[in-house]
Amino acid sequence: MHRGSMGFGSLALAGLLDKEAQAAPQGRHFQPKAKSVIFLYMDGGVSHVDSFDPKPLLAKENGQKPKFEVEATVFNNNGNILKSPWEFKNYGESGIPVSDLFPYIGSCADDLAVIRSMTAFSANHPSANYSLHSGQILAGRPSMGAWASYGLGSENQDLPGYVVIHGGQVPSGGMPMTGSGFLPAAHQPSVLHPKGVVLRNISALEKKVGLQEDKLALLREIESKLTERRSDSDLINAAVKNYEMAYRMQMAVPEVTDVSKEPDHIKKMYGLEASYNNTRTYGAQCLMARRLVEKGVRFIELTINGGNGDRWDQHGGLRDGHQKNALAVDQPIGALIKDLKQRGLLDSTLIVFAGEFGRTPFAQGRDGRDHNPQGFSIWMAGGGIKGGTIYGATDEYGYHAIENKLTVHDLHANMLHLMGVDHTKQTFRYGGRDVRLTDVHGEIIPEIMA
Amino acid sequence: MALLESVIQLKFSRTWTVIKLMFRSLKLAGPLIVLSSALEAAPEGHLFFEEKVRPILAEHCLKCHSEEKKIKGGLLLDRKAGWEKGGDSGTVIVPGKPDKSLLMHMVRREADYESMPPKSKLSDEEVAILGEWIAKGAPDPRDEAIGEQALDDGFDLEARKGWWSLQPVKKVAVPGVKNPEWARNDFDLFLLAKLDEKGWKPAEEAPAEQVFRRASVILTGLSPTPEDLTEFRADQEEGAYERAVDRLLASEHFGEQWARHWMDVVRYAETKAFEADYTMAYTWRYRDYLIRAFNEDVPFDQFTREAFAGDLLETSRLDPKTGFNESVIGPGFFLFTDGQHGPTDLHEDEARIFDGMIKTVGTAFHGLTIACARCHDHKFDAITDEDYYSLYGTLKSSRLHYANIAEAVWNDERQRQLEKAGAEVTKATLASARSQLGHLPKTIARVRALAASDELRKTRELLSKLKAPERTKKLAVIRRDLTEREGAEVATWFLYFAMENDQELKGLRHWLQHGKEIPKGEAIGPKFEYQWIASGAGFSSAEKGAFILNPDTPHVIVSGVGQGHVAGNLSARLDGTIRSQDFTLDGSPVEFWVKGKGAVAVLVIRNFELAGAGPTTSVLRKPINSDQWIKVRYPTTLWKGETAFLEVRHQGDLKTHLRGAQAPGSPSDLAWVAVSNSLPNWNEAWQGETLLDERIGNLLSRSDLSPAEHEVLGGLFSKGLLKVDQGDPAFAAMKALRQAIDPPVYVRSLVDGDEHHEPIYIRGSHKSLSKAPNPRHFLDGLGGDRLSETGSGRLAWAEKVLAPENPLTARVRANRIWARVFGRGIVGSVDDFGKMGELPSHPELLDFLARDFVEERWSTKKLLRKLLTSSAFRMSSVPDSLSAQLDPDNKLLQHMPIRRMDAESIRDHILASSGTLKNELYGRGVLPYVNDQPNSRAKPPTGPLDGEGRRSIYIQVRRNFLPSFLRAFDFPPSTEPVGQRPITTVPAQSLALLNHPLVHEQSRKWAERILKSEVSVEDRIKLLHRQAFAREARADEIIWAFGALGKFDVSVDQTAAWSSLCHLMMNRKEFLYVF
Repeated sequence: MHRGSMGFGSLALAGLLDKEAQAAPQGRHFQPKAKSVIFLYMDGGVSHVDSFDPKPLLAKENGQKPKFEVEATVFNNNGNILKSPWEFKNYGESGIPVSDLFPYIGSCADDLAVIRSMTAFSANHPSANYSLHSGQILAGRPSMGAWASYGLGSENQDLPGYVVIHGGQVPSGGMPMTGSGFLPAAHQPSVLHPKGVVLRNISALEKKVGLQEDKLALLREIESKLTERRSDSDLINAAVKNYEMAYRMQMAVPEVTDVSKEPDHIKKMYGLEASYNNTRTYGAQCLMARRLVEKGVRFIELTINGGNGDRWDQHGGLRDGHQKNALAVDQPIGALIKDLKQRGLLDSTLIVFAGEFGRTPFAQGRDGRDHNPQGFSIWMAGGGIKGGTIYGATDEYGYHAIENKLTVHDLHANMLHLMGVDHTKQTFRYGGRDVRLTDVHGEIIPEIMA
Repeated sequence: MALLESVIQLKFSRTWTVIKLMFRSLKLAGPLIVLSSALEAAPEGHLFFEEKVRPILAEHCLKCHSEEKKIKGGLLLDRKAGWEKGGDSGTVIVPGKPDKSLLMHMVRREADYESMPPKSKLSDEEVAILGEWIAKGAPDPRDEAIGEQALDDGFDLEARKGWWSLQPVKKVAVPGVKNPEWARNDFDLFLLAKLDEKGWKPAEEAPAEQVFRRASVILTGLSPTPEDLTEFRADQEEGAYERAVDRLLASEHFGEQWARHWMDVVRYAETKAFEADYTMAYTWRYRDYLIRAFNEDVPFDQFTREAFAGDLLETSRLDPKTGFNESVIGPGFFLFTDGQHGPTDLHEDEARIFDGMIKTVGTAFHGLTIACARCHDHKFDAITDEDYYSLYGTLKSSRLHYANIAEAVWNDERQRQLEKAGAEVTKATLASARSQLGHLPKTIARVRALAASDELRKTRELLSKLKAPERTKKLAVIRRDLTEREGAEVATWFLYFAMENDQELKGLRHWLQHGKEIPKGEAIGPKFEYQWIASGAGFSSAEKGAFILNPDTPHVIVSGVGQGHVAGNLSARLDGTIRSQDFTLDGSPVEFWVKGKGAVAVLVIRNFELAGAGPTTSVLRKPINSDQWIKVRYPTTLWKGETAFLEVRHQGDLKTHLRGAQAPGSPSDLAWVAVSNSLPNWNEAWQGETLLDERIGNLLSRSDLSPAEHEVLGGLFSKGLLKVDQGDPAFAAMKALRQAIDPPVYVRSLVDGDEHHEPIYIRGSHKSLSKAPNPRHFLDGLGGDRLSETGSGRLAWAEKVLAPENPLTARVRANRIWARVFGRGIVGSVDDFGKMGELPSHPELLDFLARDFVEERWSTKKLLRKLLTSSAFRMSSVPDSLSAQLDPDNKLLQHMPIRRMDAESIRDHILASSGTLKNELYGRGVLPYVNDQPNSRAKPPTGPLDGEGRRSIYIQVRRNFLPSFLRAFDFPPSTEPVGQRPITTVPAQSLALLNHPLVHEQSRKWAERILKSEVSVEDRIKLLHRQAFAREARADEIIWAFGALGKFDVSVDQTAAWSSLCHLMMNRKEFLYVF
């Protein structure tokens, strides 16, 4: 079995302490379909009834009082049925309906498995965000990316195994939601930025050319005496060795994240020349993600960029806010799918598009929608996914999932499965339990597997 | 019906649970009625089952509810006996009654019921068939009995109680060894005996200075300074090392280091994570409390008592320096909870938050994973879900309380003096007013004349058109003119009549208008029936009438209170919070009467702390700034059925969560508050005399004022209608007494609420509660004794934790201390002494250690002194090659482990080397440096890169913005308890030490310091090594450093070259590793 090394998260040695032994990658349980995952995190909650789950009844009953029982929402300012401001079109051979919000994604319909029966554990952003990432509505739990890093490490010695490409919008609940929780800190994400300093502590601060190299050489010289003297100590030797790796990363990270050298047609394809600033940012993020995938990075999460009118969280001004958000992400995501495909990488790269919940079929105030955890849509594409699939269903209003209802545990189970990990077997001893990402839940969905 | 339900519930619960519950609540358990299956089904019903029902069950249900596949929720649907027994949620089918059958609620997917099947909906036809089947009496020919395996949930308490850690701590004899001379104390003998067994020898003794550095880092978190080293070297007498250990134990930095360890265990943090990362005010005082407690070596039993119930102790421990209450700070650890604003389900939120508390309590004091029993009995240990919900009930009976630790210096004598001074001031105030009575008739006549004239209309018209501040300005002009024309008293009375309309002074207005008393009228407003319980010295009963006195204001009497409870009437610095009993919300609004200044009134539902923060819960928090009684009204339709209580906080602005990095304000000397269940009929106070001045004279002369009269009189003074001359010495006397009172110093603590017993949440669901009661009791694995105390039972719980027969507490604590000294515990899993944890490497030693710890009166310092002066501690870190091979984890402690400093120590050592580190203890934390973290709405302003030179323990722990430099070196996430940090060795640490701006900044400072300290290059290099490694530089290191300086072009830029060398020193392993 191939066991990837762990790049950034690497512990060059195992077995120093029990805790450290657990930090070494656990390995796969079976042949993976996906070597890498790109998690497109749609912060705020995309409205499913306006994107991937058309509900004609909403148009028919537009403006009427809901005929069903309305459950408490976060703002509890619930109005009447609100029809979607967008038209739906059927795309591709599969004919999957996608709204006019996402024409680029729509054009990849035959690669998508749209899940229309997703549910969330909470109607609040932070709790739902925490559980989307970790399976638990708790702060400080290890995220799916950390679990992937823990299980599989990285294919590339010089690059981190788990990366968050930060678009600028810190999700509600804070960046620690993407963290490693009780897993060893080695599995924290490296947070990359598409603009400015790409990664904390990755750039040498020495202004003088060659100074850092001089320092490293001198350090090597004096430390070699220590490692000779204390050849018994794996701990010391590993700590010394890490400087070599750190230096290589210092070279590799800026190189792999530099999208400026990509050919013009690729830049254009990803929207790097789009007039909307946020499209350019997200385009750069998607392009960075592709480059990281090419280098064997295991798990890449993209947060969205701010300034679209509060994330996807349109409690008011749905039309304007969702339109802007879609404008930012649609073209880059479409490009990412097509680009991976033309490079033969889509088959081995799992793309997941998900928010923390959906939005209500009735209005909040006049023209917004509140949070809807009881049923919403996400989609997956690429590595191991059967494209052109629709799985699960909500009721005729899109309020509750009624068919093949899924939770984040199921989502995580399937993601791990496609990466070759049995979610019931990947565990970490914590608080007296062998804890799993999926707790005691999670089921594999054969219907969406290629 | 209720009884029947609970009997059914009992019947279908697991048998042993039933027995235990009955035992605990004999009163409630009636005779156990065994219900025979209700209706005998006719045989033709079987055909219906076979044709219609069986296919539905087979297709949709048996995947999860059959002995062959899974038995989810404890329910079998593959046989009649299965559904007859029911599942974890009780009976699922009541034959003949589909509408009473849980199964039907579930398949119909009704709100408040779990939907079944979970993933797909049955068709309407299928639902109808199941309903018809149950209506027919649920005929079912499948008569297999339930297999034993399916019935047995695998939980055998008695067997589980046999686990090693639950056995009594043994009295063990010291073992014999081959070479007793090696040992310096008994602990050494136990270690040596194990090595003897293997035929291994302990490692050589390490050089004294190396051991000294080890001791210094372990005890204080700081590497020895060159001065420390000089002092250590100067003592050449026998016992020099022991004396050095004593110095370290006596250092105030000892408390800082050991406080931080405990902060890990109790998940110390100052913010609440989630969306807004709200600040919990005053948490840093808990950190300071720990530092003082460890420095004073507070015995761990006392420490434990304070942690559970510091607010309930008969005698509080006081800070010898300030006289403030220490004990009451202890329970603060419960409250390092996280929190979100506006959760849609407050019960669910409470369950989540309490789970965190239970996990922390279990880990910190019991070394048990009690939180694993949230959904079912523990899978491995002797912990029941009743235990979990027993603790839940205890927490639910406790309420967050902002306690005033300065209250400890207050006492009965001072209270008596202040009350006396207040009485004197009241007397003097009334006397002063009485002396004005002579001219009152004239004033009243003149005001009446003005009121009848055009003056009134004109004044009102003029002012009604204006808004503040123009209105205020205009009013002042009018007042000045009137005063010039009519005199001050007439001006005040007239303008009062023209412009104001206070509830208690309606009678005055009536009299001025009509020349006679107001009709008596009816009682005012609704009456409520809250039982108010006050915490803190500030509150007292106002039933005999109270004036809010403030001699620092011109009117002296700020308000009159005739009923209910009042705080701030003698001094705003006497603090308090008053609460109602628990009640259940029925959906209608909750109301009561309150008035005051700077107070806050909260409806606390399900212990929700962040009331006021979120969209839906913002209505639950009301600031109170009114000298008129107001009816606070909380809408509760969203929380129908939840338990709640009312809470009124004196100085309420200071007792709340804060946005971002805000700091709480200072206590106000103007604050006061009164609460009441009813209002007096003020009109009654105007009855009796025929003239207004005589009526007022009467009020000023009597000592037996009614509640209404009290308030009316208070109103007359507070509006300036009666003037006070503060010539009497009583005023100055009271001012002096008030000034001498310490302003409140707040900490987050607990108070007891109503005694509460939480039912069991079946499968952990807060929507599925056991109907059988779950009386509070101590852990079943440790006897399960009923805790019969009223209130929260926290003190009783603490005594059980500390009971001599409880084998865990001393073992867990002593083992934690051991682990900090030797790098790993005798039980490696310091937080888990259960089956999933590790077995002790030296069981006898553990018991010897635990016993010794208790015999030495739970003294942390005594134990540490023994451990650090042992021969084991002085061993070299170079292993014997055989033991290294056979015992790679060094469980038998053949040699001392090399250790990496904790994140905080690494940063502190960097600052100490550069001379930046300040020797300053305590106080509000420094904001973390967050310039290297993404921007967001909740992000606090960044703190300085060097944290103002404070030790790392004084950097605020903000959960959403943990300091990245510390986090790289395994600083914990601070959301869950961590008894032992995992130590990782990753390139990100090398990158931090190479490229973090802090390291570069401090390298430069270090260089400047070195250049100032010594003249010769060689002396500078030597000093550098002493500062970095607490040892002399070796010859090769001096040569190396000379070479480095040359390479860095020292002749061109001296500071830059030395900065680079200092940077290298920080990157050398010996800087952050202890050998």
